Amino acid sequence: MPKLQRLLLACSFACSLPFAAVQAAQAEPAIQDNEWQVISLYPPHGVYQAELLPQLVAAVEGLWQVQDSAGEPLLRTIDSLASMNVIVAQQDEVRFRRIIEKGELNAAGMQRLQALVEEHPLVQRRLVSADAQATHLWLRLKKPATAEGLQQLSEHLAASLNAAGTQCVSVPENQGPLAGLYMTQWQYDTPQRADGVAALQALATAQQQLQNAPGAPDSQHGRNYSALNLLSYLGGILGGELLDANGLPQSNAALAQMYMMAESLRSRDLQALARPDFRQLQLVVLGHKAPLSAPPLAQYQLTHTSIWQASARDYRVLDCRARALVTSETE
Amino acid sequence: MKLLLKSAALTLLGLTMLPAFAVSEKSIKPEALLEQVRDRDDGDDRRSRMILEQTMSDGFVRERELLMLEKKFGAERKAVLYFTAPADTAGTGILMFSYEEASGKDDDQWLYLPALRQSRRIATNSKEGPFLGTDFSFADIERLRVNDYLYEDQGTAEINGRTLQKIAAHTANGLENPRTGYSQRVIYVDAERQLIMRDEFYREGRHIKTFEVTGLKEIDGYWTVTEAVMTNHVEGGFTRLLRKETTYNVGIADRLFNERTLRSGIQ
Repeated sequence: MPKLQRLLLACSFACSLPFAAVQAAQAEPAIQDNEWQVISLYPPHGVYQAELLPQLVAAVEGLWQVQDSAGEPLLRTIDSLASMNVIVAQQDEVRFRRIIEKGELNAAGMQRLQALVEEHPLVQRRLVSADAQATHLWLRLKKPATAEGLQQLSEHLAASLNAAGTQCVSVPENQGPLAGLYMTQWQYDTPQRADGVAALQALATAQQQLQNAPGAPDSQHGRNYSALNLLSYLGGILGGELLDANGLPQSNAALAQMYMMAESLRSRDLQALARPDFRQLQLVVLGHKAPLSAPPLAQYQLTHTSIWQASARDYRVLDCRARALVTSETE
Repeated sequence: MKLLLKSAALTLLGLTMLPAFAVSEKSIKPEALLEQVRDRDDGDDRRSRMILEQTMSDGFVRERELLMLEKKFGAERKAVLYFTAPADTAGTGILMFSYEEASGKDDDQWLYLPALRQSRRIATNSKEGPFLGTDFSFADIERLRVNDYLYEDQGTAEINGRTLQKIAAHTANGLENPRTGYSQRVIYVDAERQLIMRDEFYREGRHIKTFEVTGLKEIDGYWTVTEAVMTNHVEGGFTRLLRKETTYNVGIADRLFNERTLRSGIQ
């Protein structure tokens, strides 16, 4: 069992505050919104197909060309298998690389890709379904999210893939792999520079409470994650020496040097989840079937909540499997 | 990618070289002027102390101090940085090799983390990302690449009592350069000193960052930028870069630019 999971399990005894009490302990934040929109894509024969991936990379890259009626690009960010960089260890070096690299489009490369997807805390169920049949694109637009904007992007993605020989059709969002699920992102702030290791311990407590909450995601659909998970991952690929027995950075000096590693590779992921001064933290839950209340974080105030759910405005599904085409034609 | 902090030092960070001769700004096309900026003499080596002072949008300030050594090795450039403060990063070192652009060879970089007591080779395909978490990107500090943009001479502008050549730059297709993340720039060049004094960066028509030289000094015969600021108009913060105790052509030993020395540090 990974060290971080052991820590969270151990915490389940020490952190056994009833969840109802947790809910009552902290008022809901004033700011609540959602800027995420999602397209789920069923490739013809599953995600890990070497011939599909270059098409997917090109089609996702093409989304940056989609413009609104004023001629302005629609997109602000895309998080997807085809566009994200992640930190990985390869032989004796540490790389910040694309998840999909052209030089790895072979059987061995597909195995490495699958291992990377399962290992990296920001990838996993966020980008690939548990059965590896679907992949998800998490999008943020420059302007407030609209159904029309998402539809435009979904149609452009389908057209790009179809032009490359795939036959994708749009299916109702309630048939998508994320139908009925939520993604919730909480932001916590504290006015003073915080002790990093103490902040991570508070996150571990909060994450354990979330794991035990009614409606928490099962492993098939998602999990919760924070900077703690990413640091545990980074510490692991660096050989584990920077982590203690529970998978936490063993000191603030070790923590600072893990930030230095991420920053020297020009990755923004760690800073996005926890600012280097630990005055701002993010906690994310993906794949839950009912709204969840934010767990309290000692010394921090909840300042922002973002909740995505599969809806007509914020979710589209493209099915490129042969049987989907048959179904569509039959209908 | 072929740049190094070394190159950086010699361009935006280092920011300076003594011009071999004065240039008549009116007689020169923008491309030729920027090539002179790119190719100006920057000495054989340089030693300096650097301070990276990052102010975030809410006013929080993060400061890091480094010892920086730079040296030319023929067409290659090598640099080594040692963090000296704050205490939790002291002893961390970065070694960087930059190769001639024509070689097509990517930079090599190694990072030494004292808590691990070992150096690791690091590689990234992202230049657009932040340099050590600051408002500078790696592309901002690399050696100028003249062929990244098309240029238009926009005459002169007076800034801080100096007459600067104003040059508008844009990518050939109008889209953002995938390497730098910029689609347009407005560059203000001190032609006599062969230095970029101000640089405004745009993405998709939006002014996202501004670089300004705020301190300049002639040291050992080389014009040296002693202070520069990058303001981030998107995120709201800025980073001030200070160069102190700079010395040129001091005969820095070759052996200081290797992994073994990186692990043991500069004594």
